[in-house]
Amino acid sequence: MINKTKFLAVAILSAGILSLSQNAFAGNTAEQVVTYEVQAINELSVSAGTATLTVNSATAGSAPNVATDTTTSYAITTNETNRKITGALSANMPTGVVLSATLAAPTGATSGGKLALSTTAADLVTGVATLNESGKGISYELSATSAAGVVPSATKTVTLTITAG
Amino acid sequence: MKSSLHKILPWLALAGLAQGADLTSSGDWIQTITAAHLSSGAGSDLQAQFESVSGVTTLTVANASGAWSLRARRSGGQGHPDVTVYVKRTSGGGGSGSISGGTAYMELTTSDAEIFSGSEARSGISLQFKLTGLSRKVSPATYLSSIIFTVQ
Repeated sequence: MINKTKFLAVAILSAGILSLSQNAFAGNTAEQVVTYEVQAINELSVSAGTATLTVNSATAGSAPNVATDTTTSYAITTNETNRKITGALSANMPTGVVLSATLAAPTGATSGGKLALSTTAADLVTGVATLNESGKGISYELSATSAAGVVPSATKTVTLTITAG
Repeated sequence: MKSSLHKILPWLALAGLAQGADLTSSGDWIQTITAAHLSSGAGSDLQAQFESVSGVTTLTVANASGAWSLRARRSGGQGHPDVTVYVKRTSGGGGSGSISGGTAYMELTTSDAEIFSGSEARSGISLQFKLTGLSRKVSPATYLSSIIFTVQ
C-alpha cells in the first residue's frame, strides 16, 4: 500500500510539472517590431523665384556699372554630412556678360564667395552637414563689358542643388 | 494514504497557479521618414512626432482565468538613442473579461512596465505607437525597436 501511494504522488507531481512546462511553451510573451526608416533628406528652397538685374549705366571712361540683387535668400535642410550647394545656369551668358552669385554659408559650412555662373555647376557653398536654416542671403551680380554692346533682355534659370561634396 | 495526500495537495495548488494566460500579437509598424515630413519644408526640421494608425498591432490574451497584467519593454539595440517609442491601448477588444488602463501614451524602455491590465480572455486589443525625437540629426538608416509584450 505504501509503495502504491508513493507511485501516485510521483505521478501527480509529474503531471503538475508537465502542466507548468506546457504553459511556459504556450507563450505568455509576444514580440512586434517598430521600424523607422529615415531616408536621405536634402531640401533647398529660395524665397523668390525671380531676381531682375539691369546694366544700364556707366561712369564715363569706365566699364558699365555692375547691377546687384540681394532680395532673395535660401533655406536648407539636410540630414546628411559632406554636402555642398552648387549653382548652374540653364544656358551660358552672352559673350562679355557675366552673372555671378554669392551664397551666405549656413552654420559650419563655407561660402565659395562670388562665383561666375555657367552651365557648369559651381561650388557656391561647401562643407554642409546636418542642418536646417533659413534666410541665408543670395547675392546676384550682373556685369557687362562695353564690348558686349546692347544685349536684349533675357531670362536665365539658376539651379541650386545640394549634392555630395 | 492520508499523510501522502497532504504532501501532494500543495503541488497540485502550485500547478493550478501556474496556469498562465497565453498571449499572441499581430502587426508590426513601419514608418518611413522623408522630406515630406519636414514641419514646413526646406529650412525646417522633421515634425515632432510620428504616430502609427490605431490598431497597427493587436494583442489577444487567451486561456486566462482571473486577473492579468500586460507588460511591455523595448528589446535590442538597433534603435536610435534620440528616438523614444510610446504605446497606448486604443481599444479593449472583445471577450468575456474586462480590461482597464493603458489609454494614454506610455514610454517604452528596456525595463518591463505594465501598460494595462484585465481579466479573463480578451481578443483584438488594439495598440497604437508613437515616435518622438526624430530630427535631421538622425542619420539616414533603418532603425528597429523590438517590443516584447508579456502577460502575467
